[in-house]
Amino acid sequence: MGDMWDIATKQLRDSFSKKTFLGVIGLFMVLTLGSVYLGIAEYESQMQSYLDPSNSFSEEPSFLEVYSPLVQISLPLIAGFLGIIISYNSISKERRDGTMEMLLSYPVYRDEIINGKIVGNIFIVALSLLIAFTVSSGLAIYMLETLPNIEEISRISFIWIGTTVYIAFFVGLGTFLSTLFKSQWRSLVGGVLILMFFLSTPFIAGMAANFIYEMPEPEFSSPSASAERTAVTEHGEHEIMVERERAQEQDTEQRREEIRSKREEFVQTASRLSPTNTYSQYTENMMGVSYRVTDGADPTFAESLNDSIDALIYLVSQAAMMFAATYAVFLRQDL
Amino acid sequence: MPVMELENVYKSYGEHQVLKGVNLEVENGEIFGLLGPNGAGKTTLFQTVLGMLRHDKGSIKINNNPNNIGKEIKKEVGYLSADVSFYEDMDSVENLRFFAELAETNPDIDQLLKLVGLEDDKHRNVGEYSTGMKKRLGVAQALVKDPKIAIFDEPTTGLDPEGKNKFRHHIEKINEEKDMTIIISSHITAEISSLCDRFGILAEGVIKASGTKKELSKMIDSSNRTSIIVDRPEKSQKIFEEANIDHSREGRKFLLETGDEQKILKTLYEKSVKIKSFESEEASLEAAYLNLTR
Repeated sequence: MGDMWDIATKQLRDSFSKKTFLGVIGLFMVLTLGSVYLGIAEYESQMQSYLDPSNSFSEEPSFLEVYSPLVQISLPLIAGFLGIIISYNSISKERRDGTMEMLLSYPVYRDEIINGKIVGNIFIVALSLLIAFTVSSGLAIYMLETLPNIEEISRISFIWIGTTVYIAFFVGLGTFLSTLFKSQWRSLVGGVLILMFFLSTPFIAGMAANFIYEMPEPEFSSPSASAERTAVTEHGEHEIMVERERAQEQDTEQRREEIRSKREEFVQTASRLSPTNTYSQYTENMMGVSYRVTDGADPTFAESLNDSIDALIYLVSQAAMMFAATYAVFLRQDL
Repeated sequence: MPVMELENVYKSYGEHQVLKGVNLEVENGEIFGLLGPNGAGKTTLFQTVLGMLRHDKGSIKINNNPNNIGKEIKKEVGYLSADVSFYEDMDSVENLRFFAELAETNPDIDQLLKLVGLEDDKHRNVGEYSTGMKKRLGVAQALVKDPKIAIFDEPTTGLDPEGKNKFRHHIEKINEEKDMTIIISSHITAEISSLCDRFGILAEGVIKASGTKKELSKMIDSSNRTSIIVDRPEKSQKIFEEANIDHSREGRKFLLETGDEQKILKTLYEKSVKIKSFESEEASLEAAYLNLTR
């Protein structure tokens, strides 16, 4: 374990001494603050609406509203990107510089090298996120002159944990690609393309579902045909035929409904492969968004935690699978 | 007593078989020279010994223990790779401290740097070092483990003559002061011939021969060979051809397949060829090397 921590500590020190890395962290902070600033504007607008006596339907906004643009729009992209950018060359650079050979000549197991790199990088992102969340919360408190309550702080803390796990997946992905490819650029481009794929998975899955499950055309009866049928029925003739047509229409509608649910099921299943989608589900539940949409009432923290724990476990398992793939590749390589 | 024993070691990269049954013993406290042409598998052999590469077949023992028993072997063997590399944005003290942490040792870093003559440059980033300085730091790095065996892979490559001399001096000093077994590889016999007690010649994936300089010379029946350096190589070549003396040539140097020294000297003298160097094969390690790797 000692060697893993030695490598992790070195990774940490290397990162914080590089100007490019500090630039990336700075950009991350700016984007976080920008997103929270938008959230503050939205919170103020909702608060004005709530305080307006003519608007009796408006509810008092939650402090969490401040984080909505950050958590639901910005973080799925920029947090994933941050994970890739800090890890895309962690192994390939050691190989390129020849220091990997040196490391492996020491009493260090190969998995300790991977663990050290991953732990060091995850610590960096967790710390960066913590600073970003703290600074942006400070900004919101200062501008709104209101404090979050304990429940809101708990929700923000769990969002921080979930975001760290989400980034850990991309740290694993970046490390995996840097193990697989000798070229640093190839692993960076590969990582960004995979992130884009994950972001658009529901859309791609939707297109694939439309292609796989063909929707039958609806059978609409024309007004004249309907009139004719009525006439026919009035005359007591062809009654069986009308019934058959009606049954056919119902059957088509039923099949359309089945296809719709199959498509939805396909999209949901395919989207579960994407950690971005899992992360979005997690944050939606933790922010209480899904409740407000379906139920109209705000969930308690315990209810939100209960709803989001599955997604968090799934996110952890996705990150763990990424680490396992990295070990499998690295342990099989000669040097 | 051997500190390193290799028995029938095989290693391949995919279809390419690099080591084809290497047998080798290195004795405690000696300086052992591993000679072999480029691509013979010297680096692969060292990396296999250290467990950085897995061998396909055979057995490797370090101090009587198999080399696959985990971290212990790596603690006992210091290694300087042919392409010595360090973290260039760190100074030599930081680099050595990091490696000492990995090795779980607590060496006197100032003392190590003094041993390799880098005490005045210890706070400069390694990126600013010359190749020679990096090689010397590499030696110090190999010693942070306080190993029983130190392996230096092509340590003199890329060094100027002064650097090579300094390097040899440091190796001798370490061998004396630390009573350590040292294994050095090279593809140039002259660079290590004066430094080593014994040699092994690696070619075509096997150790073709091993022993002292004298033992190796005897192995190739050197009584019938003579090595000379002349001032007029073209003319000399014609003379040898006319005299039907089998020979091979490298610039001004000839290796003659005859032990009749009188005849050679007389013939060349009569044709006004000056002899710069004349050596009977018995003392020539290079001849053994060339003969075994040809």
